[in-house]
Amino acid sequence: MKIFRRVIISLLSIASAFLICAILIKIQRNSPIEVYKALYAYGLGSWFSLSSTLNTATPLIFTGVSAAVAFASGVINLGQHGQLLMGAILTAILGVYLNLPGLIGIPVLVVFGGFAGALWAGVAAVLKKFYRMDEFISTLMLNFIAEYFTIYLATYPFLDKKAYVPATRLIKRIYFMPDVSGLSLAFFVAIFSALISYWYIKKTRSGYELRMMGHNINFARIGGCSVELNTTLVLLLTGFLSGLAGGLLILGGTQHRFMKGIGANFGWDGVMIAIIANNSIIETLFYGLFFGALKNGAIGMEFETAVPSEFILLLQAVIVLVVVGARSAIEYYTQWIRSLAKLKKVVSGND
Amino acid sequence: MAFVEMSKIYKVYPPNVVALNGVDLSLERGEIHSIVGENGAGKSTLVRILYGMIKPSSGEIKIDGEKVQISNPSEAMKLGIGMVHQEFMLIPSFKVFENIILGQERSTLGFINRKKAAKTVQQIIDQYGFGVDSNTVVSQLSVAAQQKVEIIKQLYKKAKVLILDEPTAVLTPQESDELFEQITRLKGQGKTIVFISHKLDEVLKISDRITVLRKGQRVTTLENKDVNAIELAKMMIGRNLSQISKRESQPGKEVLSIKHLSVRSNRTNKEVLSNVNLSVRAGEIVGIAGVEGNGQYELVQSIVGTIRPYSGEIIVNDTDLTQAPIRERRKLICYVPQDRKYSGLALKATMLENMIMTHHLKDEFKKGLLALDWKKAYSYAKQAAEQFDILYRSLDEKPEVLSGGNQQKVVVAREFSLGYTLIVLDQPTRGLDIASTEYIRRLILQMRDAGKAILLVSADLDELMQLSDRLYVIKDGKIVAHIDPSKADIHTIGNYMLGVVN
Repeated sequence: MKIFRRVIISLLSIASAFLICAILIKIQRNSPIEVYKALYAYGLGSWFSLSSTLNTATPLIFTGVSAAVAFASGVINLGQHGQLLMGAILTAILGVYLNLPGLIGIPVLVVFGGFAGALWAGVAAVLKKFYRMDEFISTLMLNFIAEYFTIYLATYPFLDKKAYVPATRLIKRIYFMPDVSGLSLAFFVAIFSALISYWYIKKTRSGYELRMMGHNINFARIGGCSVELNTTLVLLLTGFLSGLAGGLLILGGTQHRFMKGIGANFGWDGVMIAIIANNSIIETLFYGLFFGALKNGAIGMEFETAVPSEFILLLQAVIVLVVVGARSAIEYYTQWIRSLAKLKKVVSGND
Repeated sequence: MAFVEMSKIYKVYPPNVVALNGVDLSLERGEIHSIVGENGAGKSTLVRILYGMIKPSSGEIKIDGEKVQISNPSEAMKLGIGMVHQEFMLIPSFKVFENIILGQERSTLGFINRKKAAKTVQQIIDQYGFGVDSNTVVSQLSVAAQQKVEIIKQLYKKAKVLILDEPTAVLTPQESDELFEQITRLKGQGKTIVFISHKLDEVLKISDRITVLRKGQRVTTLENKDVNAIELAKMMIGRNLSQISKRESQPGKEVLSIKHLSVRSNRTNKEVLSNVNLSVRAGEIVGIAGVEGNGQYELVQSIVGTIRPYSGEIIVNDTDLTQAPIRERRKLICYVPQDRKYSGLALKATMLENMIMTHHLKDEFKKGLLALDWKKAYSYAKQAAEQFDILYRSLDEKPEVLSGGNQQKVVVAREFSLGYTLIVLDQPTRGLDIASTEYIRRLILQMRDAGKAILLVSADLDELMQLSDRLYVIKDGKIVAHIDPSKADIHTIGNYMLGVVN
């Protein structure tokens, strides 16, 4: 019942977001129908569109789940962007120099990417544990350091001299992620990671402690949960997930090397997705796919119509506002209406 | 004609909690009018509506026969209605008169004549005989004196109706008596006092009229004569109150032993507990009495482990826990914290998740390497909820929808079913209605008879007298008396609490 209601609210909010944006498109003298048609055709319309949507969604799912797990545990990890970059750069470098057979090499490289992300988040964990520094600010600041540190590595020590932009050399061909007619296996790793995370947070003892910390940290502490250890654990775990996103971006993406700007906006999109999904992992998965479709469809929309692909950012923003707003507004007004009905009943019962 | 007339007041809190169901209340000039009722009966909601803090769902208020709309406290003040809340709203670093004139400053060209203001305030203080110096800084005043400042503040604003919400909850018996004298004096000057309390003997002592509320409805309003506490309690809870009787305790071996415990405050480095020695044996209830803020909180927190002692030892079941982390302690201690919303419950998690806390550390709820045995957790929670009479619809429901009494039962059910020998109770019945209080007190006695060692910290002296087998009185972080409650009266203990005797 509750799940049903949540689905309905989400669908209605998304529909109204599309409606609001249709008006904006119309004001600019474009045809909303044409725009949305193109959005659909390039987002979901064919196997080619669908598979590239799923590929685009892959890093979003990782960063989204990373943020959702952290937020649900009351740990404000906002460092997905930096953790992803650190995972990507390590995988990209090892992919050039490491000599392993492909079958072993790929998982090893992916896991190393994860470790790099975990280690980067671990810096925030150390700062928190020993210097009581808020992870909210430290993860945020570490993003900038990661950004410029990785650019430095790609510009100087590991620069591919033949490239025109700061980029590392192409990784060995045997480490390219295999795909199923265009759909990278990385997508399945993402789904698998999301499901494992779901199981961990919902079913395990540690996951229970994490969720209770998210609800009320004093309750968890007094109840005997290892609050400090768990905070460190969450940072490492969610850093690992973001790092995986980075590693898989190198192995499974299109460039197969670290280039400036490879992290795009995946980190912040992940945070946004987790917020829309109310930190639920399953919902994060769906919103990850949905935003993947929007991103991919945006390219087609730009091809076919006069609307620039940046318009999708507007659509995203409207969806976030409407979904999050509708959730609390609907809750508030249904309660208000119910209280009025109850009042009527009570008053008439007394007369 | 009545001075204040509230009629047919309804209040429904979203989504469907009926707090007030057509309540009438009339206040005369110069009377002390008590409102009694269990928690959740609607006392606070009713007076908050009068004070403009809460908007009624329907109903009307008349003052001197004229219909009025009171939509916020400053409008209430203009109509001469003032309220003293349970939590004081004073600025500790300000002087008494500064607190009193705050928001009502009379200034010339934006400058306050402080000398004149202090003088005006002192005149009011003297007029009503409060015995407070208007130039003292509030933080240096006792709780009782701070309460006086709150009352003076209302008088300064020319309140004609003074609402006192459970004013005696924070006072010792002696201080309460003083408050009653002042209230009576105010009444003599024509003020109307609305007195809210659940202590019936106090109500009977000072009221002219009493309004009894039950479950959001007015049971009756009666003159304070020919009525006694038992009849009043019966009207409040709708049935007879049974007396709690207890058997002689059969203490066994020592379970909790605290030796030379000292705790220093992190902020001021002052000793908040000094050289505390106490022991609790199996099968007995040991009470800790004291005016709040004299080290009770620090004592409990050092046992549970959120505060590190400066020196001394805490031994439970022959295990030295002085340096142990909370997690290890919670494998030996059942603990009901004083504030269920702060640390007793996660209000937005499910009932099941609230019930399984701390139990999840036990081996019996482990499944495989990492997983929690949710099936087993569910059947335990269901059984415990039934055993402890919790009124709930489903274990997926959130505790935030439960009444205060039921929320507390969730905490108690969880902690008592942990089954460890040591039970630490910090204000276990604070803010609960009579029925729930009675229920929980019975449970505590049952636990004692089952051989548990119980440490009971409470601000409610009646509770301590009723339950404790031995009683320590704590003052300024020191144990100042060790008393057999069956051989002492409440005033002796009050004297120790205040430090009048040594």
